[in-house]
Amino acid sequence: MKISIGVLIVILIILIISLGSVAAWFAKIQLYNSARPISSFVFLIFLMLAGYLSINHVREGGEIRVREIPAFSAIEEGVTRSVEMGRPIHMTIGFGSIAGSMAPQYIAGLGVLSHVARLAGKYGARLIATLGVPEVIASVEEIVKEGYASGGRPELFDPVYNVRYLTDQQFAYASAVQAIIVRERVGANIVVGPFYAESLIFMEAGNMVGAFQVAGTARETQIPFFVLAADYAFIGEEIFAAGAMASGDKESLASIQGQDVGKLATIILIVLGILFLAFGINISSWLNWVWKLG
Amino acid sequence: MVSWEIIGAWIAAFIVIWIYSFAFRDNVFYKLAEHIFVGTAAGYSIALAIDSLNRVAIKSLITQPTVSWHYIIPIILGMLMFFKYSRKYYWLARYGVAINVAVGAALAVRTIPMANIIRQIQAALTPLWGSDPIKLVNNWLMFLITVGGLTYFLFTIFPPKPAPGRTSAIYTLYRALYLIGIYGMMVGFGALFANTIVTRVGFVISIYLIYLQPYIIATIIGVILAAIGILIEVRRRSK
Repeated sequence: MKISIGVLIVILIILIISLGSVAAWFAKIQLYNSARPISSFVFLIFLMLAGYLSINHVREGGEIRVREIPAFSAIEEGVTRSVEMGRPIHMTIGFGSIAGSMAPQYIAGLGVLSHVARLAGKYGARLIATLGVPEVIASVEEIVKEGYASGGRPELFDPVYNVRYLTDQQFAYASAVQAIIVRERVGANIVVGPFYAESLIFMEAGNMVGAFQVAGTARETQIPFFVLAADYAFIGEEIFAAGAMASGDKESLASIQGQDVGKLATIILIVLGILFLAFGINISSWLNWVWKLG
Repeated sequence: MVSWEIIGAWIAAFIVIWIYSFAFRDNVFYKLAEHIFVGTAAGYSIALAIDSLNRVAIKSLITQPTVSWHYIIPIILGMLMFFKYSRKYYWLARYGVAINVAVGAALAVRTIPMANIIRQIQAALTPLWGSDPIKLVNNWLMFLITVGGLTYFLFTIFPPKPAPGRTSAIYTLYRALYLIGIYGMMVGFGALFANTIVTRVGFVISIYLIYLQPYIIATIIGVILAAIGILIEVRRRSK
């Protein structure tokens, strides 16, 4: 029953999209922008294929080697330090709406949160997860509850204490989070997700109470604050790798490998492009090639 | 006569001072400002959401049902999220969240390959030879830091570390590019940090000019109250 309703909803959505496309075709509404270069589409297909092949590789029993990320290993150190000091751990994934280009960062933050919750359960630490993303309140509650259960201490889970939704408005959220960090005198402050101007506020609050700080974001304008103020920082895409490592899901790691193939292809294209320049061939113009329909 | 504008300006000056007072110590006036801020923001978000739902979807559905019928789909998906609180049907909420995330990701995917990959490759394609030394250094730096940065972010594809006493040319090249990448990024982060701090100093000055300087009496009273709040907090802690 459960699966059949789910499948029905998915089929319904696919049907609506398909019918909409057919209707657009008949109504002569142009769906494809012929002024855009085709290279980005080709690269996107290449990335999808690389991701698909990597996932297939792990499904068939293949192993994926991941390089060490110091900030990821430091999380356990932060949790144990908090337990020794008798202080709680604070973790936040950010504020805003999950529907947007920041969604992967929130999901990476949730992956790290599940890791932190597991460690909190394992070592018997008090965890405070603050958030400003209304769509994930129930998910965060579930993640923390499961973390404590898998860590062997389900009795420590208290939704009112452990999960605190504040608001999705930036500075109101920031003022409440900094107050929680200071008032609760947290032993470890773990901040992973998409962050904006509030990043340094959180780091300063953690610094005021001498917390061990692990922070990361893929928003390049905020990385400097985390690199400077945190004890350990995830730089840019490291949060996605950390999220995948934390989840322990091999398919998530495989998608990271797919992205790595894309990065390798980019390096090769840059090196080849520069070598071709020596022979007077500019591949930059190839990348701008537009496929004119009709 | 005291107008609403004056009362609003005094409240703004008080709240600015009380929020800043946290830099010294937590106090009762910061708590007051924080709770006003969070409560107002939460209430504002709810009002905005209800207004948006009413204006965009419900009114259109009532006035133009033949044109706006498809708004029913997101409304249903949104309502599915409330099933999170049902023990039996909580799984239905996943569809609302999943489609929300998928639509956001799909919209982002539309532009990211062009902006973040193709345009970056094109920008890095500069000749590494020529007669202008300044341009040459600039181009080499651009090439090495771009390739080094990309190498740093390779998490699963990298050459294995050679056994002690052995050397590997590929591993040496990988480590060299890795280090160039991280040091290049650190230089960039330093520049970004300085740039942001300068912008924030500008914010502080504008806040002073807009909220504090024109209402100097309110500012002084706010500072005195914050100082009293901090002293009370210090006494409370020392007990």
